[in-house]
Parts: sequence; structure tokens; C-alpha cells
Amino acid sequence: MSANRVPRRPHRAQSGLGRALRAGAAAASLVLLGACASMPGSGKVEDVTRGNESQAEDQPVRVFGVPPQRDESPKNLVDGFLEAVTSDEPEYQTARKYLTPEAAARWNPTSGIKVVESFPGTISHPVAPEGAAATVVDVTGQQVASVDGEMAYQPSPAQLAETFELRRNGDGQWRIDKLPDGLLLSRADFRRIYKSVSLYWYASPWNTPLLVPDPIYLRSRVTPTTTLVEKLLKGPTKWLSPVVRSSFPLNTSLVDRAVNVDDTGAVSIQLSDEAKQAPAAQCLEMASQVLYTLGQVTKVESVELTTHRGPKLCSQSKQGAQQFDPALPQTTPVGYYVAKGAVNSLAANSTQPAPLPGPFGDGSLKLSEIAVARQGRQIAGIDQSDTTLYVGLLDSVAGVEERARAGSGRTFLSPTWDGRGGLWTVERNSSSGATRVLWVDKEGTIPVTLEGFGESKVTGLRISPDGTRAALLLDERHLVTGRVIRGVDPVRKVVSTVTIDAPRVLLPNLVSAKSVSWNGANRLVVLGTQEQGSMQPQFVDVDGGNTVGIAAVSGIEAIAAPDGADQPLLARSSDRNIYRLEPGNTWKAIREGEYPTYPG
Amino acid sequence: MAYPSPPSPLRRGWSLWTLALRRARAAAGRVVAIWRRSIQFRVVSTTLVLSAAVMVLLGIVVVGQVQGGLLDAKVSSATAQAQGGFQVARQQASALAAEAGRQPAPTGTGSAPDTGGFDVKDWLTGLVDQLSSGGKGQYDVAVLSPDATANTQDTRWGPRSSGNVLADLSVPRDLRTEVGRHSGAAYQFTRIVRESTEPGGGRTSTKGVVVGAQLSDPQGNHYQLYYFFPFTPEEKTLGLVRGTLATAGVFLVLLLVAIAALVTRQVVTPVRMAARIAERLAAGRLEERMRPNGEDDLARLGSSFNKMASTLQNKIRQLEDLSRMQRRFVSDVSHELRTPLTTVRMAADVLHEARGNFDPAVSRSAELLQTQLDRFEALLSDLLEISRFDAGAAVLESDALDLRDLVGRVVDAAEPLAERRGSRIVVADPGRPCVAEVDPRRIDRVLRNLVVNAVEHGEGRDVVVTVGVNDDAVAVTVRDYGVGLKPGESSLVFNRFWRADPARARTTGGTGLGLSIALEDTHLHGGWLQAWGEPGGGSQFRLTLPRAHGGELVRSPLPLEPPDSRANRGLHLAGTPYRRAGGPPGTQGTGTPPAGPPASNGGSARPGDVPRGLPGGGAPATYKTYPTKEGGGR
Repeated sequence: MSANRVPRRPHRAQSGLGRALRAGAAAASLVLLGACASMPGSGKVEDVTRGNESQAEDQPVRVFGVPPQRDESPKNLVDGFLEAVTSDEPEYQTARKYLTPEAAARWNPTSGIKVVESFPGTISHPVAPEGAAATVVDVTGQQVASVDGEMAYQPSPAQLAETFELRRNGDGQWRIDKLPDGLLLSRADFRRIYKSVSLYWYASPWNTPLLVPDPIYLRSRVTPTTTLVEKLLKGPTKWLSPVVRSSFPLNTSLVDRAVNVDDTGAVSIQLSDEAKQAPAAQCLEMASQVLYTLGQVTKVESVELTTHRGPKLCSQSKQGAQQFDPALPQTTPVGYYVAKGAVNSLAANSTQPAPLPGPFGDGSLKLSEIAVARQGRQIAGIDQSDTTLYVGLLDSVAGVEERARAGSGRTFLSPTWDGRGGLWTVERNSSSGATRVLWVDKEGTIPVTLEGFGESKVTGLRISPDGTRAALLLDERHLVTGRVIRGVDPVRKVVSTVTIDAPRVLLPNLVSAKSVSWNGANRLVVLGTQEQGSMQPQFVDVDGGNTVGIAAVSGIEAIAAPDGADQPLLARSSDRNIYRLEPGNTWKAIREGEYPTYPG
Repeated sequence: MAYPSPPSPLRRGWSLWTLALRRARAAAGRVVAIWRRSIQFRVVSTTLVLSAAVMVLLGIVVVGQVQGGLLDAKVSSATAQAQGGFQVARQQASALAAEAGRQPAPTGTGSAPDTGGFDVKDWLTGLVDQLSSGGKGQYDVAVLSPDATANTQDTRWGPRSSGNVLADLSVPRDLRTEVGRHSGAAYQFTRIVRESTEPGGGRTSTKGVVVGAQLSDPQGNHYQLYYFFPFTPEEKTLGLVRGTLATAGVFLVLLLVAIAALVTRQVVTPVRMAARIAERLAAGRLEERMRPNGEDDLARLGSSFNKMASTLQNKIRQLEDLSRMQRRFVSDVSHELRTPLTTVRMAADVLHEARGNFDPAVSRSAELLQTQLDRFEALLSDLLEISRFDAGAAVLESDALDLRDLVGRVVDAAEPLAERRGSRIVVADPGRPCVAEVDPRRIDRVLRNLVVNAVEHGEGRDVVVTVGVNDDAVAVTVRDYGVGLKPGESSLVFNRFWRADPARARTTGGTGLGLSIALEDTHLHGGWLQAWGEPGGGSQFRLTLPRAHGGELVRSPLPLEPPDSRANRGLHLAGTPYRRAGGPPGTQGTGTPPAGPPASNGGSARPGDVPRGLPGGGAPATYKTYPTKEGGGR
């Protein structure tokens, strides 16, 4: 025993020391833990993620309609009906309780929406004699816009006058017997219930695909992934359909009516067998359409297309789809402006402009208006006499050519590039003021036919990145979008005629408009004055459905926007200064200069 | 014991249930058994239960306090937030009302205020949107028109709410009336019901507090503004506290249990060792000792245990030595007595031969001397035989032979005695060979003892000797119809010097050792020797032997209780079941009727009793118990 103990002693002493050390470490960690168990008084800077916020944004205020009470007056009945319509029920169950059974069966709420300035406008009805079996209620108001059955928005100011015919039912209660199809909504209710989502198509007639947004309005309460894909399979809205195509083969349909988006943002869609006809490249285009469309309402990282019980057709990632985006925002957009006849470039993250190399940058061309192409590093400029249109390369000394020269008594203005290297400009007759739009291609100049524009003079022109829409300023007052239809010569396979037609007035209440610029493919920035307002830049959706005002700088004369939504705008003031919109909605003077522009 | 139920499908479920119940009961029984047997288990489980109870109690108290604190904080922050919102709504309404007052009736003709281009409903929707935008996810806002009772048609409109809250269902009736009655704000706990935004629809409800007040819109009409604060963050915090407490509690309980297990293990291990050693000691392994470790109390227990064990071992060794000495003494005495006995015998023989010359009294004495010498000799040889068995010196010299021959020889030898007694010996023969490996001398001795005993106690009635055989064993039963045995005596008959009536002197011949020797002989063969008897019904002895030497006996070819016993004939205690003798001889209750024997009609079978009037054999037979033609087996 004791013989055993003697050699053990040193070991035991060692383990005792180890135990003491371990106890010390445990005590130290306990103290540390105790320190952790209180609220922090300092820390490093952390970014606030936007995940929760966007989730909460999807929950607008809801109005819950009340069914008709007993012995309601005709006016209150119509009033209650108009309110019940705003309660955003899928089948308008409550609203239908205000109707006679026949009217409820007849009424088609999805045929369109009339958006009214405010509700109730005026509801009036002739006092019906006591005990009368039928009466009429008139609803009048100021209509500001309409939404058609395809849910495409269009500003259409008009005087609203709708008639509701009422009849007493068997119970002696008033019920609506005849009413206009569709919905009547106030502007606020419309904003609350619907939100704008774009379907994406490809510009036609080109073969190289460029994505074109096609904004429609959908109910905001339900995440409309399946609806969107179904609409994508159905085809573009009427207005846009002549200038776009869909990559989906005709009659393709969803197989199980369910579009699943998993947590990682992977979408998988089962298509009917028609989709098998599409070759691989076309399939990638289809997937990109889906990806861009769904990407607006939910996080989408990749799209996989399959057929029912068939093999995987193709799968497209977000990066892969971006090759089809003509308005892909650059991380640091570079703006350009003219100073003393020379072009300077200004990166978004710098305050140090740099002159371009070559004749464009050294002032030898004496430019007044410029346009930078989105692709091909091309730049176009009009000299100070407004008669010559030069085209050159951004970063090369050589290659300057004189693309076009205005006829006598005519001047050029507002050059602009579409997303495919096509250069556009407006030619103005100095004496009469009449204008025409020109497509100034390398091969020759094609005069553009304007259909439906009347005698209006074009004072500004910007072609959308995808080249399917033109934003025009008419008579320095109206902001109009038109679709760009290109006629292809069947023999030479080149564009032979160009037409801008079907104009839509975006901001009907503008009284003057000075400058316009595309901000991405589905938004414009316009500098103008509204009724009872001052000169102010504002964002406006390409369908006119939504406008957001921006702070103005005093004496603002021109505005330019890059493709990214949150990227800085450039402006010029009347004192010939270039301003940039800094974060926090403040304008900062950069340099003296004129004609700020971004590619486009 | 329940009778087994007949198998029926209806009962199968029930029987499954009872099976499960039985299993559970068995498991519970095992646990109870462990509880009773293991101190460690008892201490550990008690610690577990007690510490778990304390932890649960602690958890309830702590969670309760945290919950109270959270609720207070929530209510105060909620009411403050709501009051701010009410203030904003009041200011907006009064500002709008003041503006409307400055521009009275812009359209000029409108009699109703709401025709002036200002829409209360839009204003309320906007108000809800504005108030709720500050707290998306934390609280929701709703406006309701005042209580239906105070409602006029002109001011009726649907509820507006943010976050899909179904305000109608979420605001309790009591709160609505309370808010409508006075101007201040009020709050109540409730379940906030929301319409689910999932495609499936449906409703979800969360617990929360709702704060409300009745306010006036710009046109002076009343409306009720409610703030809904769900308890989701508080429940999350509470869940966190609960989870933390539960984790800590589980670890603490585990720690306590581990400590208890460790401590009791330190105490119990030596105790268990002591118990194990004690069991071994009890089993006779007296050299087992504990190994004491260290110098603590338990080591002392071990050393004193060891001391006790050595003392015990010494005592037992002493006793064993003593007993061995006694046996040797008996054996030595028997041997030593033989030499003088031979001399006495010769002298007695001389006296006996010459008894005709003596006067009758002396002659009678000489005869008496002769018979008593015979008995003494027989006793002495039996004692020697017994001491040989005790010393383990008996050797078996087995030989395969037919038991029927042996029986025949024995019966032939006993015929003269039977004739003298007026009884016949009947032999029942199975008609086929009953060959077994036996020591003929010993089995002859056993059979002779049994047959002579039967004749002696047969009271002149027949004695039946039956021979039986099966695959493994041969058996011989000897049946007499004498006085029989009293209950319990059947196992005593094999005891040394046993007498049915101790008061009676051993007057008849026999040493009182015959059946003991027979039993030892049978054991030497690995067989059974069993007795059965009933008072007044006679008795039967059965000898069962394995056919092969060293074979295992499973059952005897013949029943121990004869088929003509009273019980078997149904005369007496008909319900007593027949029980086959299965165990080693001498330890089993036989078919003896256990109760209500008739009054004893005389002596019962007395094994070892020697028949009276035994003719004195001349030869110095070892087994003078039996009248044999050979005059002893040697």
C-alpha cells in the first residue's frame, strides 16, 4: 500500500496543480460570462437589414366592409357598396350583398377599374316618392386614371358619371339592380389595394433578346407568384404587344398551377409539353423572363423549368439572366457633362471630373448636347451651332465621325441612344418650330413617323434602354410615352421604317416640362411643373401609375438619371452649375458645366 | 388464479391488454425490487425526485416574476405609445376642422359636410396607415365606428385596420362600451385575431393588449381608435427564460444526481463487497476475505468482517474435526467390540449347546443370551456398515443383471418366514427383462430388507412384489396390507433408530438401521427409495434404479401409491390428487392421505423391525436382519 503511494505522490501533486489551474480558468470564464450577461454599452457598426421591413410593407391597411343594414337609404346603400368594394375580398362577398341576385350574377368586377380622385365624389339621387319600388343614384367625380381588364394602368382624366339603379327587394330593402361593370376606387384605395408589377418580354423584332418591362397592377395582399407566371404565359398587354415577343412557345401552360419559391430563392416551374419545343437558348430566355418578373415580388436567385414528369429543361441564375437586361445598373455609374464645349466624365463616387480623351474631351468640337451609348462605348455630340452630329468613342482619340448634318434652317437637339447602339435625334425647323424625329443609323438616316401626336412639337426625346418605348416632351409641356415600331425590310433584313405611335400622356396635370431621362427600364425622371406647383423633378412609372417627387435645387433646368434606382441624379441649374443628388436628398454642386447626362 | 379464458377473437384485445398490464406490473415489480435491494438506487432516485421538484418550483416562481415584470413594462409602454397616437389623431382632426372652419363650405351649396370634397373614410384609412407605419410588426392600429347602439346611418363605415387585424373580433365588447362611455383611454388583454395572408386563408390569433380611446374626426363625429400590441416579443423573452431555466434546471438536477450517485457509490461499494463475501462465506467458502482499502470507517468494517470470518472458520473447523472424531470413535468402538464379542459368542454357543443340561431357568437364560448376542452382532455389523457409508468408503461393484432374478431369489429366501406368518408373497412380473447395472449384493440386501419388513408387518396378509421397467429405469415395489403408516411417517422411516412409538422399547428384532442402510445403498446407485403408507391401509416401498450406472432418473416405471390405495379406490378423500414421486427420496410428501386418518389401529410399519422368532442363523452374517438361505450377503 505505502509502496504504492510513494510513486503516486508527485502525480497527485501535478493533478492538484492542474485542478487548481482548471478551477481558475472556470472562474475566469464565469467572470467573463457575467460580463456578457449585461446589455452592451459599445460595439461595432452594424448594417440594418431590410428583410423585416419589406415583409411588413406587404401588409397595407385593410378596410373591412360591412354588409347592408336594415332600412338603409339609397345613398347610404351605394355609399356602403363603394366602401365594401374597397375591402379587398377575393370574390367581393360583402359587396355582392348590396346587389340584387341578378345584378350580383351580372356584375363583373374584373373588367377594369376607374380610379377617382377621391370618394365619394358626389352621390346624388332624386328623392323617390315614399314606397317607390325603384330609384336611381348618380355617382360623379373626377376620374384620374383607368385600369383595363389586363390590369394595365393608364392616366385618363375624365369626368366620372355613373348611374346605379336601385330596386326594393322582397323584404322592402333597397338593393342595387344595375351598376357599371368593374370597380370604382379612390386614388388612395387603389394605392392601398393594388401594386405595380412588371411582366418582362423581349423587344421585337430583334433576335438578340432585351428584356422589356410591361407594368400591370395586381392585388398587393397576396404574393402573386402563380398569377404572374400565368400572365407571363398568356402574353403581353395590348399596348405593348406589337413591339415585344415572348420566348415561351405558344399555348404553353403551367401544369400544377403552383409556383414554388423556396427559402434560398430557387423557383421551379412545371410547364406543359409545348415548352419542349424551345431550344436551350430560348429556354434560358424563358427562365430569365420568369426570374425578372418574380424577382420584383420575392427573392429569386435561380429559376428551373421542367416539363410535367419530364426532364429538366433548363435552369437560369440571376447572373445569367442579367445578360438580357438592357438597363443593368452599374455599381458606380459614370455621368457626363459639357464644360466649355468639352465632355467631362464624373464617376458617382468621386467629385473630380475628368475630361474625355480625344476631340470630345479637348473642346475642339465645341459641343453643346451629348449622348453616351449604353453599349459600345460610343458617344454622340451636337456642336454649338446645333447643326452637326458627331459620333466617337469614349476612350479613344481616333474614330470621330460626322454622322449627320442638319439641313439649312434646321437644328438638332436631344440626341439619345437606344439600348442597341441606335442613335436618335430631333430635327427642328428654326423658323416654323416644326420638329421631326430622326433615326441616325450608320447606313443612313430614317425619319421617324409619329402617329397620333398631332401637330405637337417634340422638345425632348429619350429612348428607353430596351428601345421599345420613347419618352417625349411635347411643346415643353406634356410628358408622353410612345411605342417604337420598327419595320424590317423583308429583302435586306434591316430596319427600313420606324414609327412611334400610341402616345400616352403620363402626367396629365403637368403645365411645363423641361427635361426627361430614363431611370432604368420602367421609370422616368421628369423635370416639370405641376398645377399649383413649382419646378420639381419627379420619378414617374412608365405607365404613369406612380409618381415620387424629389427635392429641387433652385433654378433647376435639366435632369439626368442613371439606370439604378438608388443612384445619384445629376442636374443643371440656371447658373450653369452641375449638381449631384447626394444621399439624404440634398443637391451638391460639383462643377460649372452644362448638359449633364448619363448613358442613354 | 384465474382460469384461462377460452380463446375467442373478442377476447384477444382484452388478453393483449392484460398481457401489457402484466408486463407493466412485472416492470414495476422489478423497480420495486431494485428499490428494496439497492441503497444507491434509492438515494439517487430520491435525490432526483426532490431536486426536480425544487427546480420546478423555482422555475414557476422565477417565470412568474419575469412574466409579471414583462407584462407591466409592456402595458406601460403600450399605453404610452397609444396615448401618443391618440394625441396625433386629435391634433390632425382639430387642425383639419380648423381649416374647414376657415373655408366654410367650399362648394357653397353642400348641406352635408362630406360633400365638400373631404372624405372621412379616406382620412381614417390614412390615419391608420400613418399611425401604424411607425410600428410595423410591433403593433397595429384600427379604427372602428362607435358602438352600434350609438350609431347613426350617416356615420357608419367599416373598420379599418393595419396588419390584417380583424378589429371587430379582436376588441372585446366590454372595452368598446367602456371606451364609448368616457373620454379617456382604456386597455384590456385579449386575443388579437388576424386574417392569415397565406393562400389557404383562415385566421390566426395571438395574445396581446389592446388600448383604445374614442376620438372625434374633423367633422365632429366619434370614432374609436385602437392600438393592438401582441405579446409576441414578450412571449419570446419568456420562452427564452423558460428554456434557460429548464436547461439550467436539468443540468443542476443531473449534477445533484451525479453527486448523490458518486457519494452513495463510495459508501455502497464496500458494503456490496461485504455482502458478496458474506454470501460466499455462507455458501461454505470460508477462506474468502474482504480487502480493506485505507483507514476509514468502511475499511474498519472490512477488517472486523474479516476477523469475524476467521473466527467462524476456526469454529467450524473445530466442529468438523469433532464430528470426524466421533465418527471414527463409533467405527473404532465397533471394531474393538468385535473381538471380545467373538469370545463371548463362543462362550455363549457353548452354553447354548449345553442348555439341555441346565435347569429350565438357566437354560432359558442361555437362550436369551444367544438371541441377544445375535442382535448385538447384527447391530454391530450394521453400525460398521453405516460408519463405512459415513466415511464415504462404500464402493459400488455394479454388474448388469436382470432384477427379476434378484427378486426371485429374495422372495424364495423369504418364503419360510412368510409361511410362518401365514402370508403369501406374490410376485408381479412385467414379462420382459429388467436388466440394470447394479451391485447385486447391495440391491439384494435392500430388497431383502423390504420384503422381510413387509412380511413382518403384513399381519398375515399377502405381500405383493411388483417389478417394473421403462427406458431409463427399473423399479420394484413391495406392498403389504398391514397397519400402514401415519401421515408424515413415510419420510421418517428411513431415519436411524426411528421408532413409530418412542415409548415402546425395541423389543422385536432388528437394529433400527436396516432402512437407513437400504437408503444409502440406493443413493450409491443414484436411485430412489421411497415409502408410502396409509393408516390401516398398509404401506408400499418403491425402489427405483437407473438402468445404466450414473443415469439420471426422471420418472419411475411404477407409481409410489398403489392403485388399490383408499384414495385411488375413492374410499377415502377422493379429491386428493395423486402425486407422482419426483424428487429425491425421503424429502417428498407421498400419496399419503394428508388429513383425517382413522384412529390408529396399532403400530405402523416400522422399518428395520426384525421379525420375532427369528431363527438364529449360525453364520456371522452381516445382515442378520433377514432370514436368508445364504445367511448373509458377504
